[in-house]
Amino acid sequence: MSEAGESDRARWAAVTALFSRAIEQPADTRHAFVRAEAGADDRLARDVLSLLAAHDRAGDFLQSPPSAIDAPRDLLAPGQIVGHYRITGMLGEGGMGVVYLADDTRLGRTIALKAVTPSPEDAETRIARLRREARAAAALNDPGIATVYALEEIDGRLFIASEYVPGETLRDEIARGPASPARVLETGRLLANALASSHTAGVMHRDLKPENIVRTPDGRVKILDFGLARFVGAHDDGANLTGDGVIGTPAYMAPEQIRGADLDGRVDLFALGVILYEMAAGVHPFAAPTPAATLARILEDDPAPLRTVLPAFSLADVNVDLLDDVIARCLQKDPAARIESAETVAGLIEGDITAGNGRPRGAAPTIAPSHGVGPSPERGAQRRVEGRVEGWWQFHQAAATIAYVLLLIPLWRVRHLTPGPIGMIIFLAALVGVVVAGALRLHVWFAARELPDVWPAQHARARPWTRAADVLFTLCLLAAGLRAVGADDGESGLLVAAAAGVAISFLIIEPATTRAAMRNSMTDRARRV
Amino acid sequence: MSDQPIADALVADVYAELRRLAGRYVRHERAKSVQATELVHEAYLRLAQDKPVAFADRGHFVAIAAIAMRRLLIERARRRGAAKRGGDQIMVTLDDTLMAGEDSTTALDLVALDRALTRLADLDPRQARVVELRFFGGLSVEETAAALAISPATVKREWTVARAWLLRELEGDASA
Repeated sequence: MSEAGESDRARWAAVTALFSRAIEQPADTRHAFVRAEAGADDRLARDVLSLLAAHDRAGDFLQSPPSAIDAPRDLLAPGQIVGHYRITGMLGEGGMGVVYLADDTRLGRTIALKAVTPSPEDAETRIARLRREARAAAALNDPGIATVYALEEIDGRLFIASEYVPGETLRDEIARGPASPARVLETGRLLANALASSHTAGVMHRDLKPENIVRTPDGRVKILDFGLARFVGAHDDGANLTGDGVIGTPAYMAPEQIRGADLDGRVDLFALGVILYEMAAGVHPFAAPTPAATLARILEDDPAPLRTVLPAFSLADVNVDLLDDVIARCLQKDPAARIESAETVAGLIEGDITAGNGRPRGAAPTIAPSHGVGPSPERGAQRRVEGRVEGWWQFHQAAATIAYVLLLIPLWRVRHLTPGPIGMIIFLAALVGVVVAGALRLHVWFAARELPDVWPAQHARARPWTRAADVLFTLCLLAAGLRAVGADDGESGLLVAAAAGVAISFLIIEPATTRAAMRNSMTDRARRV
Repeated sequence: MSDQPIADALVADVYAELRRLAGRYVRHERAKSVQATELVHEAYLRLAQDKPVAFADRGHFVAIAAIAMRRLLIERARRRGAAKRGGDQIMVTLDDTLMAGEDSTTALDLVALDRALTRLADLDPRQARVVELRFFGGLSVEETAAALAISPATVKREWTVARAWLLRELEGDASA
């Protein structure tokens, strides 16, 4: 069926070659470039230019796989009325169900109407949860977040009415290739500001990904499905992870999300890091052939250093260092080591650092080019301080445990100073306190050393018990000391002083070292857990 | 391609499996809509067990499955087109569960795409193959590169130019 001749193939090869070189050029110089390169070959120039134009309007053409089957669906047709909404078109569909474009006939505005299809098994609890989450999401009011207007139950079907955001998704942008560091940072700043306001309101997104972010025609970004993604998204709480690489792509999950640990706003910051990396490099930092392999890479691997995957035009950019810094701090696997908050991300990009690492408060509007000068020495200093703080905390854990055990000796010695079984009971109670407090301290210490991811959660779980054991032990020391008064003033003084020392240690010193070691955000989290 | 005969037999196997899976999806209404790539993956999981030698690795499998999937989708689209025109001279199997509904929102004319892709294969076989693997097989850039033994950068380049060309062709078809 060879209809094309040799000359056609040769011509197409020339067109392909010139097109591929032209597409590497900045968009505004492509035209001139093609004209110059094609020289007198007008046909070649026109062919390449028309392909470039086609490329520019290609959007998501062929970007999503075709549908393999078309099961009968009860789709709503344009013109149909649902409640007080009139369907005017369809915006998209996926595992989540269908998203329609609709008119709100009461308020006279255009909205996006999402048909939610809960799985029948757990519909009751899911809908109840969805109601709660929708209420929280509806309370968010930020220009960077698509507003949720209402959760509607119409004829037994659930719909989420939300702000309609025209524009293309970040997925479309990424598909066109890497963006400049300045553009990535600006996008990161906008996203971080939106996340900051929602996190302040206590709502996390949990499924932030390029598909959920729309670039509006005026260049801003809006995040969709805030707090609702896991209801309308294809995968629910990770249940579908083993499915395949297309739906429920877990590629933007944070390590603690994969492990099923307690979550806070920092899961969104990890996703932000992945998105910014992908925008800048054009490749996903944890790309792998299967979702399971991607999950494993998120848990285990460090992504390729940003500089090794950036296109040449980005490497020369003065913003590369800042971008590298932001992404690296977002992609920390341990949430405790991750950048603390969305505000900090935005502040870092705006050159407005308040976290004490001494960058000047920049008057520069969004992206301060002055950051592009080598790795910042302040951060190295900060890391060293962090190391010392952690050592201090670890020393405290070990020293407290050893001191407790040693204090059992005077307690044993004074047990017979009180008549009857009381002395023995006090000693045994103290022994229980020492064993519980010691075991838990060593457990948390070990967790901090070996499994930093689970440390905060483990610490939070152990803390009330450690506290109780500390209090019990202190009371035993005090009781034994007071009972020894008169009989053996030396031991008595020692025990009472020890009681005071232990109390000061666990009431004042330990919280301080722990807070320092976990840094402020961590204690916030511990309080919440 | 020297391994053409083997590949053809495998394509037939995969084709049968894909059809069976698609039919099952429709009958049990397990999903409102299933993407071709999901189906390919599911077929792989099954066939890799049945024929571990032929489908040793997923990349190799998908390279074959992409061809089968293209065939399946195009045939369905053709049949549907025939049915719409009143089922003229082309025989339509009535139990074809694949015809159950309309295609999704994307008004992509798969038959026209198939024709354009065949024309592209004539101009540059590798570019057409890249599109087949990426679009019908759902392979990533890296997987496509591995399947064709070329660099990911080349895949990206070929994909970009092929996509632009195909869009121009399809628009030309539509306006003609």
